Amino acid sequence: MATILKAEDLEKVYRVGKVDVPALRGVTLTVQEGEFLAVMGPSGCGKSTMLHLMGGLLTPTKGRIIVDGEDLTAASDSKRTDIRRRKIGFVFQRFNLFPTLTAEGNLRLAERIHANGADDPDRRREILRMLKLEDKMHHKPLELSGGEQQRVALARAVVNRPAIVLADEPTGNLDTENSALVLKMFRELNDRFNQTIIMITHNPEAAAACQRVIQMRDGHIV
Amino acid sequence: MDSLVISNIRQRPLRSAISVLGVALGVTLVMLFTGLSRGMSDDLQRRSSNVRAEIIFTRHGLGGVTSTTASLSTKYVDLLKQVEGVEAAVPVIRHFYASGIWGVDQVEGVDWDAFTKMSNIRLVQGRGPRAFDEIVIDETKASRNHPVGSSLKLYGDKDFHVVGIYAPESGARAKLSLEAMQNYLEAPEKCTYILVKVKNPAEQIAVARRIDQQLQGNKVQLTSEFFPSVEKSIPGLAIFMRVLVILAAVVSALVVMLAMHTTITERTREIGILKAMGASRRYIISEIEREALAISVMGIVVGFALAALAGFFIHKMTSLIFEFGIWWAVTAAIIGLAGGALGALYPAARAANLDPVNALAYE
Repeated sequence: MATILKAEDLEKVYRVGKVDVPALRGVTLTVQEGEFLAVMGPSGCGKSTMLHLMGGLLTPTKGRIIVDGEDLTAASDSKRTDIRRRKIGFVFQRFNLFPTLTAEGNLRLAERIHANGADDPDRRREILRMLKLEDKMHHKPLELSGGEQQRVALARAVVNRPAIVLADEPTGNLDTENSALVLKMFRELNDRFNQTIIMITHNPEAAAACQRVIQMRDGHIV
Repeated sequence: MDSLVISNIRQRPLRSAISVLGVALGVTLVMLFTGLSRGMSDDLQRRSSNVRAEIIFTRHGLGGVTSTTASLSTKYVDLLKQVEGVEAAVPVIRHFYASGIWGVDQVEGVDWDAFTKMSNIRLVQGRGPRAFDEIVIDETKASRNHPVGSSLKLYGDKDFHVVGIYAPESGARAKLSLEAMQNYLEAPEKCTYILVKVKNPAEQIAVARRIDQQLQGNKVQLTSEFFPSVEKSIPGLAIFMRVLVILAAVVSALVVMLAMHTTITERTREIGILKAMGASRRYIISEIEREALAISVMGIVVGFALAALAGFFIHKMTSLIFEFGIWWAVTAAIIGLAGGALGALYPAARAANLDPVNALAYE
């Protein structure tokens, strides 16, 4: 299997007033294509910082990140945005759907951003069907349950066939039943489409759904 | 259509409506003032062209559409008739009076028989004025509920009886006898100017020069120069119009800037989501600009409608005439669009430069 993501000796220091706060203290990690990886650790251990660095939302203070052969660290802000658009899909704890758009509209927006106006209704319907949302296509987020909203968010993250899906506590705001449903969908994407998924979680049951679990503490992988 | 732009506008209907009205205000201001200027100007030109005299004889320092004094002696009438090439000379007093609470209107004092012969106007109803309290009006003024037999108030509360209606419109819409005007203005044997008809219109310049040489110390003008456009006769008006256009653009821009700034503050997290999805700076700016332009387009449509309505009602209530020109409509539309686009530019740039992680965490 090919290496889809490589992080080398990553460090990230935040400047808070006059104080330097180290969030990552040298993280090295390799993720293979098709891997379903869980990242666990206590609050403040640097999980989210690492995820944001992998997605190009932050630049590291030191170290390198290579996503699907493209060096994020050496890239300008616009280049990182371009890599993120083509290769990364995000799923957030708070779903982060656009409230004024329907489920299909949220996917359509992702397509438009990805390929400057591209429109693939068949692809959208296929994904929504796979995530059991075919009868919710024309519903707005306020008309959907938490589990349904997160599945729409997952659909939006994968509609453009990204190299990696980065999920930040995707079951954090869901009850047990919906958590299980969403995790099932993650597994199905991973199994059927060989989708690489890196998921931050506090939930041991969520981590159990993954192929590999890494633990972090105080900015290190332990 | 599932569009972020349309749905964002619909999500905050009151704010969107206020933004639209802000743009509409700028467009309405431009259309109303230019429409009024054009209407007054064209109306003046139209009525002036029916005067038919080629030359106007006045005193130095007077002349132009704002002149209302009666300080020229009528003795010049006979003197003008003796100049070679002159066919007729008719004295006119022009005077402005307050008309209702909105307007100012003008009335002329003329020797009715001589004036009608020179101007080719004809009575369509009634007769010419004889007594001091008798008045004739044109069809436009008559259509505002002033038939023959009705009364018009001039000079405060003084009643004048409508004894005739004439057409076509020529000069002021209301005319008294010359003697009546001289009486009310306490200016016996005086007038504002004398209309001069030449025997051969091709020689009007030569006749004008002859008058100037023989009756020196006065002002001789061709009628075509005497009744210029309103803009030319009121020098500050052109500057006022330019300032107005700039103000309209600034108003539109400020309203849209404020609306977009508020919108972006409220949607900080959404902008963070867009950035997380890989939206470029250009994309974010274009989305915000598209929203601003959509508001501007609606504002332009509403502005045109408001201008048309306002013009209609103002015309109904006053004697003011509006003529909306296509080029000013295009200018007003460009102002609306440019104001909206420029107003949204700063908020859009700010949005595009937001830190995505902080934006995603924004509550």
